[in-house]
Amino acid sequence: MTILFITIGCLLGVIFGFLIPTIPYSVSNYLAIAIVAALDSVFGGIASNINKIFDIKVFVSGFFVNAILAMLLTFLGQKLNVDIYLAAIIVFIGRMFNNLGIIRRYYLEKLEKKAGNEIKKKVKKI
Amino acid sequence: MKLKLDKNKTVLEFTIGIISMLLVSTILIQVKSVDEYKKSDIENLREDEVKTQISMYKDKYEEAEEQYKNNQNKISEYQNTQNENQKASSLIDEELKQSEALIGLTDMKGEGVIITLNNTKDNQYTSENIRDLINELKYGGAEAISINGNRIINLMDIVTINNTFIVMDGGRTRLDSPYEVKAIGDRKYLTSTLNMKNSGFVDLMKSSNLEIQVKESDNVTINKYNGTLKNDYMKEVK
Repeated sequence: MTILFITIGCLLGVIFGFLIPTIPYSVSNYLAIAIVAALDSVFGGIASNINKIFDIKVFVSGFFVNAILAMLLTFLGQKLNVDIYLAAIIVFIGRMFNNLGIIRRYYLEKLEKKAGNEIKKKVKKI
Repeated sequence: MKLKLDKNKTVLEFTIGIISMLLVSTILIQVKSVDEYKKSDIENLREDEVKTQISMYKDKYEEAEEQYKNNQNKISEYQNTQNENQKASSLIDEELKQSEALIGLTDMKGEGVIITLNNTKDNQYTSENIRDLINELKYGGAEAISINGNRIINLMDIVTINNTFIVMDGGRTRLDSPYEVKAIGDRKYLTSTLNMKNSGFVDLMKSSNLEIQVKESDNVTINKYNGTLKNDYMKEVK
C-alpha cells in the first residue's frame, strides 16, 4: 500500500515538475541545497524504518525544517561571503552515506538469512 | 481501534506520497533549470567567473576602442594626404595641359585669321615669304599657327631645298601652293598687323604680284603637332 502511494506521488511529481516553469539561476543554489536536505531526510526515514524507530512527525518535520534551514544557511553564507552551504552539504551527504550503509547492511543480512534458510532446507531434504 | 489504526496508516502513507511528489518535482525543476542555464553561456557561470569574464571583456573592449581610435586617426591622416596628393596631381595635370597647349601638342580652337597664299604666273612664294608671314603673325600675338594643317611649333624650320621645294619641320613635310595659314589670336590685331599700309605683309606681297587673302574667323581650329619632340643633347642645368 505504501509503495502504491509513493509511486503515485512520484508520478504526480514528474507531471508537476514538467508543468512548473524553470526558476531563475540565483534561486537554483537554494533549491539544490534543499533537495540535498530532503534526500537526506528520505534516506534517514528509510533507515529509521529499518531500525523500527520510524516516526512520521520526525520525518515530516525533518524533511521541511532541514530543507528550509539549509536554504537559510546558504542565504546567510552568501550575505557573509562564506560558503556555508558547503558545510551543510558535507553534513547531509555524510549522513546520507551513513543511512545508506544501514540500509545496505540490513538488506545484506536479509539476503544472507534467506540463503541460509535455503541451505538449511536443502540439508533437511537430503 | 482497528479502524483508527487504519486511518493513521492512510494518513501516513498519504504524507509519504505527498513528500515523494514534492521531492521528485523539486528535483525535476532543478534539473530543468540547470539544463537551461547550461545552454546560455554567461548565465551558466559562477559569480566570480562572470566577474573575471566581465573584466576581461572590459579590457578587450578598451583595447579595441583604442585601436579603433588609432585606426580612425590614421584613416583621416591618409585621407588628408590623399586629398593633398589629389590636389597636387590635379595641379600638375593642369600645368601639363597648359604646357602641352603652349608647345603645340593639343588641338586648339578660337578666334583668329585664315590666310590663303596663292602662287601666280608672275611670281612664286618663297620660304622666306612664309617665314616672314609667320614672324608677322607671332608679332601680332598669334598663339597657335599652322600651315596646310601642319602645326608650327617653337623650333620649327621652313626652308627651300634645291631652290625648288619649300619644306618644313626638318624636311618632314613639303609645302605647296596654295598655302593656307591659320592663326589663333586677337583677330583684329592680327589683321591690322598684316594689313599695315605699305610695310604690311599683304601690301608687300601684292606689290610683288602675289595673291593673298586674309579672312577673319570666329572659329579657327588648329591641329596638334604630329611629330615627336626629343632632346638628345640638351640637359637641364641644375
